[in-house]
Amino acid sequence: MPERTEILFKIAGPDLEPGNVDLLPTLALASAYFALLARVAAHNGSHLDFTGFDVRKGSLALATNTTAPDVAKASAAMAGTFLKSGVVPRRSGLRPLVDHVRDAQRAFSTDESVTLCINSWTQPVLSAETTASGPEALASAESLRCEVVRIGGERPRVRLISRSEGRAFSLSLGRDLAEQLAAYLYREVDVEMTVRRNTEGNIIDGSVRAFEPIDEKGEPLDALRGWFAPHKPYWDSVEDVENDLDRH
Amino acid sequence: MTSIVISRADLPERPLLDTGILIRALREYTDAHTETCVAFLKALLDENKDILIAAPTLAEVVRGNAATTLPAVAGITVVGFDKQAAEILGKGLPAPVLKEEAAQAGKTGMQIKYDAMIAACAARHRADVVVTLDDDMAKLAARLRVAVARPADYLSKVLSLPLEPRGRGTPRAD
Repeated sequence: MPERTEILFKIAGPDLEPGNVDLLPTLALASAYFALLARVAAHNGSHLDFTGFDVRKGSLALATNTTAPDVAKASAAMAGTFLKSGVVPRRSGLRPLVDHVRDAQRAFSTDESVTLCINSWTQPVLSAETTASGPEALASAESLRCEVVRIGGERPRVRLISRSEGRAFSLSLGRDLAEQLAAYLYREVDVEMTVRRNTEGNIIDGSVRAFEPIDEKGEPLDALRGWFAPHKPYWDSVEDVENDLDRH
Repeated sequence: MTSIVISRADLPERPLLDTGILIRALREYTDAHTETCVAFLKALLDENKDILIAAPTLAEVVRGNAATTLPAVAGITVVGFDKQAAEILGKGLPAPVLKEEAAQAGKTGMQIKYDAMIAACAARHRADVVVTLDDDMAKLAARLRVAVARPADYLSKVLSLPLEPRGRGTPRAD
């Protein structure tokens, strides 16, 4: 029986623990990535098998085995180039598999990383290097409505989900602000932030400058009417709204 | 009297309301579109939809010095024209295209820019539709690949009765 070598798919990130890692994005990325490796190996005329499945207790590492560790290393290195550049050989059939992995990567926060380990050999699957556009990315001030999904840490960070963004993201913040924002875990707040984005437009880092809680009990229509009230006399005197707005 | 029935099953999850829709839904003065706009806004709020209002719309609505701040309430989000929106606008509706659109619409470049900024806010903040009565806005939003609808598109196709425009200046009976 051929000798089998263990391959580890390791996930890391601030405040990330076995008890709070998101299962579906993790499995989706692992599935897409191992499928890509097998296809890259086939493209090079080799066969790559993965057998067995284990989750290392107390860590964030999925384990499997292969009888062709050298093929796995070569395929992972080549896949890393394809993933970073987005360029694949013509008619290789690799395009959908690369796109699938890149889609799966987007579900991860920018301060999380995934690494493939074969003995002491490692290959980044997901890292700031594979997703960031570089130090030239311009920071911008933004305000977004977000749900707070995780907060804490020795150097406080908050993980946020916004319907204005394609994926969750993490920001740093001061301890005082973290303490205040922690009261809104799993609730929505309006967050003022300074962020930096990669070339795909995803937030790669940034900080919280302030936040405003959402009035969850207030009547939205009353809020709109209260805001509009000072301007209502003007608009009640207007026959043609679009003409007044210079819309026609 | 007309009977306005909104098809709640067809309501968008995350619509961005154009300025004209918001003004008609909140003022007393009525025109041919008022009842539909009022019913549409009420249905969205009743169904807990995620209503977006573009920050440039606030600039269009506010008149005079008596400005108030729209409080942060669940269900209504004011979305900003930020760097992301500016990049979407620059790529999707570059200046030559805006000039061409302005010329076709008989507007000045300044006027069309407000419309374009609102459409870019919709694209940037992932609105699933821009609801507007402005045909020029509809063209701009379509260029940014954002779906466009009119409030009347959400009228129930089974229960709605033919609409007859009410007289201008009619006080609204809520």
